[in-house]
Amino acid sequence: MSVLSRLRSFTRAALLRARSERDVDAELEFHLTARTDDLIASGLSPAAARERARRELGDARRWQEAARESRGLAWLDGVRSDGRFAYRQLRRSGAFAAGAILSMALAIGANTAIFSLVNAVLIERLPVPDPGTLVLLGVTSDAEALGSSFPYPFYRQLRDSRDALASVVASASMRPTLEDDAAAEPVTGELVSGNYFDVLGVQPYLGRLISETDEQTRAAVIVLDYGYWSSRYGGDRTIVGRSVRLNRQPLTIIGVTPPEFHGIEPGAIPRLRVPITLQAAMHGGQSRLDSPREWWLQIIGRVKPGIARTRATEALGREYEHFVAQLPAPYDRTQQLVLIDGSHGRPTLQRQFRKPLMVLTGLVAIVLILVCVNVGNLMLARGTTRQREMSLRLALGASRLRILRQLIVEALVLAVAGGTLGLWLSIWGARALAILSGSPPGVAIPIDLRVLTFATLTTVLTGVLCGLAPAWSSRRASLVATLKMETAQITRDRLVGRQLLVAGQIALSLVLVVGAGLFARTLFNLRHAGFGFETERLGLVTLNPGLAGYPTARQTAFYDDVLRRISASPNVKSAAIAMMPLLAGDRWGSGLTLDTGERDDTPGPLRNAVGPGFFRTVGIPLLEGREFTALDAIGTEPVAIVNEAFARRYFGTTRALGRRIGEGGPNGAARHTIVGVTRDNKVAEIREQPTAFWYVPAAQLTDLSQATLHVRSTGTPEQALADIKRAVAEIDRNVPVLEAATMRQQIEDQVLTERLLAVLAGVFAGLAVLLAWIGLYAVMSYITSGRLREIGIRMALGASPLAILRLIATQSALVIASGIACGAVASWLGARQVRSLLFDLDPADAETMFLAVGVVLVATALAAVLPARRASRVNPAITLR
Amino acid sequence: MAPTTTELLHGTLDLLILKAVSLGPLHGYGVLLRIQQVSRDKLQIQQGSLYPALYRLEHQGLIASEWGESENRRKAKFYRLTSSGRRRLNDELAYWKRFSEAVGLVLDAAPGDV
Repeated sequence: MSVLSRLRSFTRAALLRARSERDVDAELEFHLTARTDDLIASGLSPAAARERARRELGDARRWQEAARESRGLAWLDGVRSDGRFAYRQLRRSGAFAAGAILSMALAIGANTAIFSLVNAVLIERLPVPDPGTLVLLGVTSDAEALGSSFPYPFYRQLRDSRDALASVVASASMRPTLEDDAAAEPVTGELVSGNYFDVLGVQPYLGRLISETDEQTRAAVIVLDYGYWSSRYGGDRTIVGRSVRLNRQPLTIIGVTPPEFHGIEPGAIPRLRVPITLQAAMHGGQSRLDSPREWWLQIIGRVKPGIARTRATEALGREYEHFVAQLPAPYDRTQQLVLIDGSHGRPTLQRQFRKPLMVLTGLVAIVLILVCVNVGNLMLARGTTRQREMSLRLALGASRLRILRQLIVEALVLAVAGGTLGLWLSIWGARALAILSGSPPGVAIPIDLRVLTFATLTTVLTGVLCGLAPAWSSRRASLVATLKMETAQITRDRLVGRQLLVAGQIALSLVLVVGAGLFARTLFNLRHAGFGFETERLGLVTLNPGLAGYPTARQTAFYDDVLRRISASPNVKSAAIAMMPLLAGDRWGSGLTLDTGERDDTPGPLRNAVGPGFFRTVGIPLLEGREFTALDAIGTEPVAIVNEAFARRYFGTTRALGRRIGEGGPNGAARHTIVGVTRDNKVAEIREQPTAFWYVPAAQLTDLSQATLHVRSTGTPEQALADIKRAVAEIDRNVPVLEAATMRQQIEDQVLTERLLAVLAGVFAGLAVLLAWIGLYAVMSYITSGRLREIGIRMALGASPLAILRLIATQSALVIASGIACGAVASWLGARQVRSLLFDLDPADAETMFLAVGVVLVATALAAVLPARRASRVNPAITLR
Repeated sequence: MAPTTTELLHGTLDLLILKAVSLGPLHGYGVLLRIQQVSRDKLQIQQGSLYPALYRLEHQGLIASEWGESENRRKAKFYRLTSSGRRRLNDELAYWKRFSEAVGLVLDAAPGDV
């Protein structure tokens, strides 16, 4: 007999229950009729024959039962009737059921939502065939970072290498302006090698994709991302063959990529792709294709089937050494090529979110545990009042296993209801998370099969955990004692356990509150870090006249034009340009030469090129000297301004003003005279430490095809930004406005993960405190109501209400104190694990700890005092009757 | 007084049913009749125990059922042997032969044989 046939017969019977029952009925009916006929034939009267046939067959219902039992359905019937019974029981105590289901729904929903984020960021692999064979190329110094960039000739060498163990593709990001009949707008895009789609295994959704021939012939073609095609072109299927302009270069749309494919960097969605050989036009400048010294391409490889990654690394490493050996000095030859697992694509997003997501998973798991303890505790309380029911059932012959099953089934019924509601909540939760975690619009966090499985498992786990406590206590229910109503003895045993559970709850909720406190303070510290300039009412607009075809000579004039026009706006207090926007993560450095002939190319200080009035506009204080003016232009003496850290590092205690500095490198010369020293400020990121930094006048640069206007507004920066956009359009509507943001937004973009952590940890902590509150309140009320008689006696003997209050309060104080003590130790240990996620904050920060203890103390004390107060108002005349 | 009918040995009903339906598809009542007829009414089967046994065997995949028409043109459920049922029947038959031979030898032993 095969397991399969049993399973088939079981499922058929379980699913087609009514039909299989009808079948048995019909069969037995036939038996009766046939037997009756035979008996009549042997001489009995019809009535007697029927009667005898029936007697011989026996009780038909028993055979029905036998049929079900033989198919393994009896067990199912039992669970089903348990479920029905549980449903009736729960309906009778609606408040308990509603509370339990709601808290379970919140916990399961929160866990599922966090898991959907974990799934999307950490588990999900690239939606291409066989992602496991993908590798990212990096060099050793960057292996911990992101992989690296490489020159195009190196890519070509790898691609054309005959004994290659991997096929490689190259890509680079770009941010060109797309123009069509409708409008012009900046878009994110990607330059890709001709074999990109072929090697990754991406099939066109529409038309065709970029091919090797396109790369070789520098074909003016473009492929659109599915999302961009649907939103901007309304999913128009006749799009293929239409022409658009990208950075003024006409291109023909040849196809659309499939909806699931977003490229090799999760979280970044290039809207379009063009052949890599169009690089010069896309980057609005020189061609980098032939230069072996321009490191700008990302290379991803697909290791050939049957080749171990170590062998591929060796082979590609030899190619790399070969390539680097040809490079002119001074190139660092000690670095080695490494292959990084590429099955998840470029790990930018993973690196950013891994640790925060781990922490969140831990925090949200604690919430689930708290809910399980709470519901378990409440069920335990109900179990105590149902003790007689249980004992009665035991006395009537129910097995202990049967009662255990009943309790677990009851918890499962609650959990399934909670889980269903929770799954629904998690869909909203995932949407909120997508916004909170800054994922680009249109990218939903998917609720896929993996997430559904997780939700189901969590639900079952919740049910079993919740049912465990009452089941455990029912194990030792003493039949005799309960039937004789000796409740005092039983409850005392049980109360110790329940108080321990509540103490545990208080401890865990303290851990969450401390976590929330640390993350909230980190967020606060980041937002109010010493920026070194005024972050309020500051707007940033990035313009690129270079892309609109402005030659170098006319660029400065264009910026001046814009500045003149917007300075007339009542919303603008002052404005200035800079090559690198503040706090945008952009860095520019080109080494340093000092007037002593010393060089610092390792890699030397970062710098920026800024226009007149920049320091005054953004509010960086000048310590010495002057700021750049309109007179600092090409043709006048080259000047520079340095920051304090620069002056300290290169000139020590000697005066910096009047010294000369310049770019590093073989052609570097100390041409710029220092005319000012500023205070240090944050340049690219909030988390950076002040380092040496220098400025040159923007007007003294040979090329300034892109620059960012920094605008101090009188009113809200948004108004000023709108004015600037209008002014630019009035001057030349072909000049693309690449970015327009307020400094506040810029800062918020940098504290994304911290904000995610702080907000979610706060929500979870609030939930935890509420749960601990409910748990303690329930237990204390229960204890108090059990002691009403005793209290009555005490009062009758002369105890004051205050003494009673103290009596009850002492009991809860013990629970609260032990919970807080354990929680303090646990959070101290836990906080050390998240040190890397904190900013300017000690994990054992005393202030946060005291505050958290205070919050938990106040909340729980409230839960303890209410029942105690009620106890102190007991009327002995009533309780003692 | 010697009994005219024999009570079934425990566990032999399954074997009898398999054997009965191996001769051709039968409905439940037919199985009963055939066993009684072939055993010349010497084996008495509890009518009630027949159906649980049938369901059990069907659940194990040893017999399969199908609705058909009886001799009296009534709708009836017919059971037939499946291939795994036939294998089981052969195994059981071989076992039963060995077992009854062995038991026979022991019971027929005369004092001189030992």
